[in-house]
Amino acid sequence: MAGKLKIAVVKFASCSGCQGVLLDAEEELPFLVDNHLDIQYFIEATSRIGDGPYDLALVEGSISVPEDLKRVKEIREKSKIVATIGACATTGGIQALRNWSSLNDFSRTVYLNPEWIASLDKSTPISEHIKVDYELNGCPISKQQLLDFIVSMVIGKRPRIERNSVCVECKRLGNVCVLVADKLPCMGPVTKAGCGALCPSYGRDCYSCFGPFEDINVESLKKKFKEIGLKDYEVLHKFREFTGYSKQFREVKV
Amino acid sequence: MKSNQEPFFIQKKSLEIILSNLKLKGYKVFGPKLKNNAIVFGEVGSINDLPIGYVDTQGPGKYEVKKSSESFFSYVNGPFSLKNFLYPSEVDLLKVEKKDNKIRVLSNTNVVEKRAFVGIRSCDLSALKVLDKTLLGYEYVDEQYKLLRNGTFILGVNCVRAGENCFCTSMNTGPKLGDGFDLALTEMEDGFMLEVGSAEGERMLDGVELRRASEDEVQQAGELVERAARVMAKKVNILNLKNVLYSQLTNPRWDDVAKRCLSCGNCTMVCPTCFCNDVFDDNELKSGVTTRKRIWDSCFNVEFAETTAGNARPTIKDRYRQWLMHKMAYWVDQFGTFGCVGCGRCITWCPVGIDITEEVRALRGE
Repeated sequence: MAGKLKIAVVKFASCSGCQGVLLDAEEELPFLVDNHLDIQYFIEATSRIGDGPYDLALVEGSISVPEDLKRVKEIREKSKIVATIGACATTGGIQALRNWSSLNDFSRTVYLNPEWIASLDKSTPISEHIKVDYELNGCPISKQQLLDFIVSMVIGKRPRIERNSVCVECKRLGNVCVLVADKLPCMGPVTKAGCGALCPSYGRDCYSCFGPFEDINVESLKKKFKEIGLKDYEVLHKFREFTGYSKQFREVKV
Repeated sequence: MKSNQEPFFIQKKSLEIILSNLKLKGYKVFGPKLKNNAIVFGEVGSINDLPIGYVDTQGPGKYEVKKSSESFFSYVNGPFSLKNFLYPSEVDLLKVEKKDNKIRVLSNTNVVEKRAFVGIRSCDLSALKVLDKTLLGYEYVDEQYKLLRNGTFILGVNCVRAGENCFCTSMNTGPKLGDGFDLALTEMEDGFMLEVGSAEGERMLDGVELRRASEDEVQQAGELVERAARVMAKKVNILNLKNVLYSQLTNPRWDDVAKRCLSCGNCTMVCPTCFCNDVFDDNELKSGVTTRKRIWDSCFNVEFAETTAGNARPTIKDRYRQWLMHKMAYWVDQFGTFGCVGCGRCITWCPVGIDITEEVRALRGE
């Protein structure tokens, strides 16, 4: 290994929860930083700021305000590898719900001086603005997946980012299907694995915070949801949550 | 090694003695249990842990279980099978340690306890034989499976009720248990008919009040199982099935099923014979230990047939066809048997209720 991996943890429009997942790796982080990582930029963790270039940029958040259009391109130019972390960065996040509404209406309702608000019409994923090398999904991301990813980058192997459905993870754990046995509107059959089937493991339905895997069958799952009693708007809401603006979900209509 | 002994008749409560004998002889005992509104396999301490009286109602993409009888074994099967125990979803294959630039293989310290499985149905015993053949029957033996399979005790149960999605009669895998069990029960109104399949099975009968089953009882037990076979609603015509399916690779039915299939992989996960897996290394930098793991994968994973030259099965249609063809045709060429035992789990646990028997019928043009 030739020296430490220079990393930047960069934030766009987000709640900082995914960066928090990295900070939450209390067991692993000190060893990684001592031996393998050179944290160049991570405002949430250190006031030391390195201007780059970076070997790896972990990018959190969606592009939501005009100045970010420029900043995200700078990050790309400075970084060998760009990996987005979390639902905001990979799909536009919960703030992308405004993409189906009028920003003006919201601004006028919420703010006393809506004219002070400088915001883009839409909240969009990072990959719509720059080339992204890897995407880690989730709201928030999985600590295990993040650590595996960082270790892969450190030792120079292809990271294992599973492209199966949540159902595969769920069945590996020996869970009983909440969609079939409990008739809960579980999004597992269209959602990418990686969370460890967290919600179904606690008997509730997946709400797709990891977003869709590649070639999902939306029509078939919609039909199933209607069959178990969901109304049209409820079906639509299932696809309009944390990853609603992902490429596959944004076109869903009922 | 099916015994030629005549069957016995025992009281239902005598099952408790058999369970405690198993434990006394060092077995960890697993059997059907109620968990999260389904019958699953779990550790059973006594007959009170069994879901006595529960009856399952299954349909395509549908499963319900309710208490509505007095019988011990009135349900058929839940989402899980012996595969979950003998070919677990995640196993460590190899551990190596890198220290001071030297690589050392750490010994595999897996200690395997003797395990007994109670309430195993004919479909699942047949699935075990399929796995044995697939994983142990050829030049390359699956050592992990061999380790876990060795010393497995099977207390089987002949089905006297057919589940709505069962089609074992079509696949010649049930409802009557074939050989391979240690003990087998047939549940009757006031007791069990008990068959002994092995010397180890016989050893578990210490202290059990046994009497020879009367001719009437033997006949009655046989009729109960035959009736289950007779009323089984789902069927697959296996006549020349492999060749028929090979001739249907471009049948438009594949497009039709692709519109319904979610490609979620549930069918492969609940299938008692699906064994596809992914192998990867888990590297721990701090300890320098790398663990090579094997984890269940699914042919419905878009990544499954991806190569540097492209994806051999890029669409849902490709992947569903691969799965059905493997179960019902390719498996026959590979292993001399169907990969399907007619348990019906893939029908029940498919969220959108795709029914393999219906698909085969449509492909056959029946």
